[in-house]
Amino acid sequence: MKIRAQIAMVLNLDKCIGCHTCSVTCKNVWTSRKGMEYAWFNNVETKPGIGYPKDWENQERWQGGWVRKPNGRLQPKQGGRLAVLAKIFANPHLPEIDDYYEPFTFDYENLQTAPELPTAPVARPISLISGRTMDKVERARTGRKSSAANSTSAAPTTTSR
Amino acid sequence: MSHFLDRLRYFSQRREPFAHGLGEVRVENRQWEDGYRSRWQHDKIVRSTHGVNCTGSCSWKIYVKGGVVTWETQQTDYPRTRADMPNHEPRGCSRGASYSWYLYSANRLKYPMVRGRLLRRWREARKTLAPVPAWAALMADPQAKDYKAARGLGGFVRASWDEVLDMVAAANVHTVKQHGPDRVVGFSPIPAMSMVSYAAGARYLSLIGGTLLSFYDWYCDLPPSSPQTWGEQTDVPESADWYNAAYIIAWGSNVPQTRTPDAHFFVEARYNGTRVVAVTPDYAEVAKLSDLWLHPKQGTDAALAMAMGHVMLREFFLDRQCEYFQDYCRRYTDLPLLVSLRSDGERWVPDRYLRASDFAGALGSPEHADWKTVGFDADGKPVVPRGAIGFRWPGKDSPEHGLWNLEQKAADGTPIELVLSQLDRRDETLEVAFPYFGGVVHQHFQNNVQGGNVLLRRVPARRVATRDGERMVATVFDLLCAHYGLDRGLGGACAKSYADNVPYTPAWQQAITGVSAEHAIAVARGFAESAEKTRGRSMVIIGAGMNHWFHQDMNYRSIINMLMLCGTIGVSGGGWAHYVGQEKLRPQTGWTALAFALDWIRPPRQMNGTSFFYAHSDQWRYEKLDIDDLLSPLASRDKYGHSPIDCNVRAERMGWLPSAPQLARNPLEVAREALQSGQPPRDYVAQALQSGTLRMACEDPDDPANFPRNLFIWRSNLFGSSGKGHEYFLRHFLGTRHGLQGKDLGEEGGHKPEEVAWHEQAPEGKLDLVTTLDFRMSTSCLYSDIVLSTASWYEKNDLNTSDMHPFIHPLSAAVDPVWESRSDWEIFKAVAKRFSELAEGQLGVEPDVVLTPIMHDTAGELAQPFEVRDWKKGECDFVPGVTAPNIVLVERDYPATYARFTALGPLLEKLGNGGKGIGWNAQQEVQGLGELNYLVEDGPAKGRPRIVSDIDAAETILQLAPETNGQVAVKAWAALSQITGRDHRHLATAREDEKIRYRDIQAQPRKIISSPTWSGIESEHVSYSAGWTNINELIPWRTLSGRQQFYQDHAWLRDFGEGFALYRPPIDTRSVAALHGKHDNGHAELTLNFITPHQKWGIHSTYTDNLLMLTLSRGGPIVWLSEADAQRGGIVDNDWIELFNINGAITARAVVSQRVQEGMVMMYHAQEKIVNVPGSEITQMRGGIHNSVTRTVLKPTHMIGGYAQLSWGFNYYGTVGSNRDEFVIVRKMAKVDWMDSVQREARQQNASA
Repeated sequence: MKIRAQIAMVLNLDKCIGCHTCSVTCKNVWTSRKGMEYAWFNNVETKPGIGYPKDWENQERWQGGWVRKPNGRLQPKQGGRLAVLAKIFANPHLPEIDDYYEPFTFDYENLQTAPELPTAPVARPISLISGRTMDKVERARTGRKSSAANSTSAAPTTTSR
Repeated sequence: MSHFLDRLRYFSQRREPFAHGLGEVRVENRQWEDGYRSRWQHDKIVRSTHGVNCTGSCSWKIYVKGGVVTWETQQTDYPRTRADMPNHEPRGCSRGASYSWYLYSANRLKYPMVRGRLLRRWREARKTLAPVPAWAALMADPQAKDYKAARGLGGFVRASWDEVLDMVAAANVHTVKQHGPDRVVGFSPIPAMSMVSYAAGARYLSLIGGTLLSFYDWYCDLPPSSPQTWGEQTDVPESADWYNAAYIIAWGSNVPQTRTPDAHFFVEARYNGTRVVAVTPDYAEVAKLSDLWLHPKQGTDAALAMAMGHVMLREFFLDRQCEYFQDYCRRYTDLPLLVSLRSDGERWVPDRYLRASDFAGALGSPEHADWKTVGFDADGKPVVPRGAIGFRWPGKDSPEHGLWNLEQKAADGTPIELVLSQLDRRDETLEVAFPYFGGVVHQHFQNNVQGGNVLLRRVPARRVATRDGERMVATVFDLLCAHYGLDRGLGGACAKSYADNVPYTPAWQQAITGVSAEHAIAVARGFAESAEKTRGRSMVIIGAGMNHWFHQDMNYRSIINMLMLCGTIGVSGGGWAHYVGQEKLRPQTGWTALAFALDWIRPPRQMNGTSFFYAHSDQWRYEKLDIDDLLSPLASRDKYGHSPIDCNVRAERMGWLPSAPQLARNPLEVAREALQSGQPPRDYVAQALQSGTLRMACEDPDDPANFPRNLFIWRSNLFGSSGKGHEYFLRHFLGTRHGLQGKDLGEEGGHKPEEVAWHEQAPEGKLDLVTTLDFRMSTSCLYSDIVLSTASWYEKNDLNTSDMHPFIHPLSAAVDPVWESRSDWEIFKAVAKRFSELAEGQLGVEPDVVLTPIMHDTAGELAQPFEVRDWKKGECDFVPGVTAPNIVLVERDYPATYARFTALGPLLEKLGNGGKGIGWNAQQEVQGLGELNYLVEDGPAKGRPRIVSDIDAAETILQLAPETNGQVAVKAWAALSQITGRDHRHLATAREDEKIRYRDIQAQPRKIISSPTWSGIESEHVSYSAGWTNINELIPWRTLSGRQQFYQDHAWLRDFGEGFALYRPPIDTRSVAALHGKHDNGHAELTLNFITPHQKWGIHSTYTDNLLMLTLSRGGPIVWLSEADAQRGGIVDNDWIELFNINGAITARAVVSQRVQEGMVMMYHAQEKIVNVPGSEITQMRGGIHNSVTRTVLKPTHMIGGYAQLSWGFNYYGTVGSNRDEFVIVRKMAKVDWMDSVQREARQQNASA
């Protein structure tokens, strides 16, 4: 077997209180820069819920882990060395942005710069991917088959655009 | 990549296997690690914390790289606990971890901002006028007031510090001169989270005679049951003490979510064998960490607790006598004390405690005999045990010094052993009446009808000969057992078994709460058994889930009964662990002098926030509650009127509650007249009030003469978080667009108040200037006229302590305040400076008349021992400090305000320092501060110790307080020893030479020194547990009886049915009926109980706008509802929904979850309305905050004063801002309108201009 270096962290889930301090401190140090907004190297998940990225525990979908070959040796489910090398520039078994979420920020500046209005100013969500105002913060509608149980909101909403 | 060539040497690399081929040692190029190493690199780590009201008080490492704060991680260097206990570290939570985002975020306030409309007018006026006349001109011009209508609606522009300081100081000078200093008001909560920052504004306001508003009560975090039972605001075990408990009930406290940094003790305790039960209506996070989850219907908890008390009395006091419980209750509670029984013809009712003065000769203890309770000794004779409040305040030459203690002795020193019950010695068995509220009909809460609202129970009574004839008396214990429905073999109505549907059995409660009788019995039994075996190590952790209800006192007292019965209070590992709000400012007596300028002028002006906001936001004009709804069936209905505000006004004039504004005229003018009158000023004012020529402002809050005028908000979000009745604030307090749906009593009809003047036209926009200091653009900032950019918690120096742990630790500046922000200390110091400059020629050395209520922990609390008498109704004379407020004449040197702000005044040396009724001299400390901080060289404060920087202020606190100065601790214990007659100094002598300094705590948090301000101690042998010094040092509780009280004998408490704890269902706020079906949008309407638990993704409103928190949550305001209710409403997860009632409306997205019970919605507190909130279909404006559907409600029992522990104290007692009895209509939105087209157009115009 080929030894690969791995770094792991073990967390006692009985003691875990689900507070997400680990998620935030990790993000602040390692994934706080532009382009990494959607990335949470450490995150906390509760059930019911399909996890982050979506459905990550589904090894059939993501082809994760290893299989044992007839000769007794282990091989990644993704395939042998040649198969992995062939996917090196575009791996169909890796999650895409929609499997995470569309990262957003808010138009905070509006609270300070808004002119006098008939009603209070608000900071609306802005997509960090497109730069456009988002109508709603919601789970991305992905074209891929998902095992998610909850349906997204059906009724279309109008805006004053 | 760059090491590609190295890779080619793969086959020639040396590799050494180990562990049977499972491991390999390689020599490889590890330069790739530099990527991470340099990422992690930092220039320095600075210790700071988060000055937010969470109780966490966690010490953090702030990392700085190139002068920029990059991130934070938790400190792990707290002083250790003990070998047999887990340590405190690490402390922290996801919210604190996200704080660094704020410093450079787009929501950071970088410079002062002013409402453009106001600034334009100001600059116009300033072209021809000096600052104070300019402001006066604006105030006199009705057209100029249009800036008020623009509050909250945008239009801010940047201004310079010089300009805003001019405006603020000019407004203050003008207001002081024109209307009175008490019309300048400050609201800032929770000093413990940043003591110096709080003190900055408080000191400035106290020097000029402004009003400081209380907050612990306004936030509904104050549990009035604590002052009622113990005479203490709040004192609780540190969280490490949970580990010492053998049985814990987490009741209405979602520990992992709201006590995040402490939750590990909760988990570790279970590994240590502790049994843990969670009681919460929804499946809250704490349930995951518990052995058993009970879920009574929200608001019905007291019923369950009464049933548990029933079981405990039955099995541990009646069926057999548990020795430990009996002994504890005899010594430390009022159970053996005697209550007079009064007959009203047919039946008997419990009246007041019997007093020594009821006996001829006062049983040998005549001084303050009205205030000494009585019990029967083992031989059946009445005796006066020591420790009652009548022993607390002996006169100068009194022979009774040193008798205020819990030694089991009578006043004359005879040993006594009080007896809990008179069952065996009874003279008669009487039918005593108790009120019953369990049958009250409420549309949404199941009642349990028992054939009426009065229960008759048989009580063993004794006859005593008193000065005015024979009286029948019973012990509190015997009354308590009867009240709980227990069978004593006396016959009559009572419970024969737990299965009887009789109040307050386990079967009785099941119908109301939904919790099975078996569970109620099992938990009660387990809790008590455990306490018996461990001598008291059973604990209840309790919080807002129980306290934020109108009848919170019943929730709490029914549980406190359990805790007292099981002998848990004062025992490490046991007791009452109420954690709502970071109250415990450990070096309290060091800080009060600084914060309230007690070193220069006494007394300061303080006001209870809830009544203030209720009156001045005009919520009383819309009142739906009728006093009749609240009275006991045993009370006469003609004494209280119908309006809660009438009770408040009466309380103010009887000296029970404070007032702000105080008099209906400028107190500076009244003072001048008083001095010119030739009479003692106190008498002049007293006579004027009694005759009616001078009125109190509270009688006419809608008269412009009685408006508060200038408001400072700092370290808080009054309009975006705590403001119950948000829309009322917008309309009346601020005068801007609002979403109120209801009408006032003038239009609707209903009882108008009798004590308060009614103006047909309600005023709108009472405040002339609202100034808020913050580091982010909060809702309060949006609604202010002037916003001052303050330093963040990584940019200033300050002090922080908490109830949860015994450490004191700092905020420190890791970087300088960014852009043009300044620390709160520097801001208020600058305001004081400008004020002093502008005061020249306007205000000089002015006399001022200050009213204060009768204060707890002063001799004055022995004011009104028996009937309640109102001088205005001619029932007694106006006697300041006895039947009416205290009246004090002070002198203010206005131009010297800045000089005084920056120097420690002479009163500490002249009058000493102290708190909670204990006083000591402070000469040495003041001298020490002079040597440390140097002396002022010239000016009005010449020769006084300097207080210039924030660190100077911190050192002042640390030097003056017993908790941080061992010498002072020993002095303070010695002073208390004089009162108790017992030597307590040993509690601090081991640390007498220690003085904790600011640099010390920057190096490491320090454990505080034991001080008589607190009832627990800091020791190598026992964790901090409240009540420890009461039972170990025999220091009395500061109550009428000197003991923990099951019974509350004040006339108002009895008249409102709460002499004993019992079950009362939530009140009907009458907020939804008028709106059913009135605003149909095609979607189904649900009527649900509006619950506001404390959230996971923020601390109140702070952090809620933080992008990290928003990302981990749902990206904007959300409301949780049950699957069943969602289905009924056609609502799917993440749908836009609207919640509304007569108070206003909220727009948010729905979270549909199986963990929510049917019949309730949960909108976690507090999500504001500044992020991702669309317009409301109901109000046609942007959706509101969570408090847009609530309003402030007052309870008359919280207004009581002049009565031992029921006397006022700042944040100690008073009306509270409960809100969870509220209901809302919930429905899916049909049209989501962002209402931002106007601003997009304006933006485009600005861009092209």
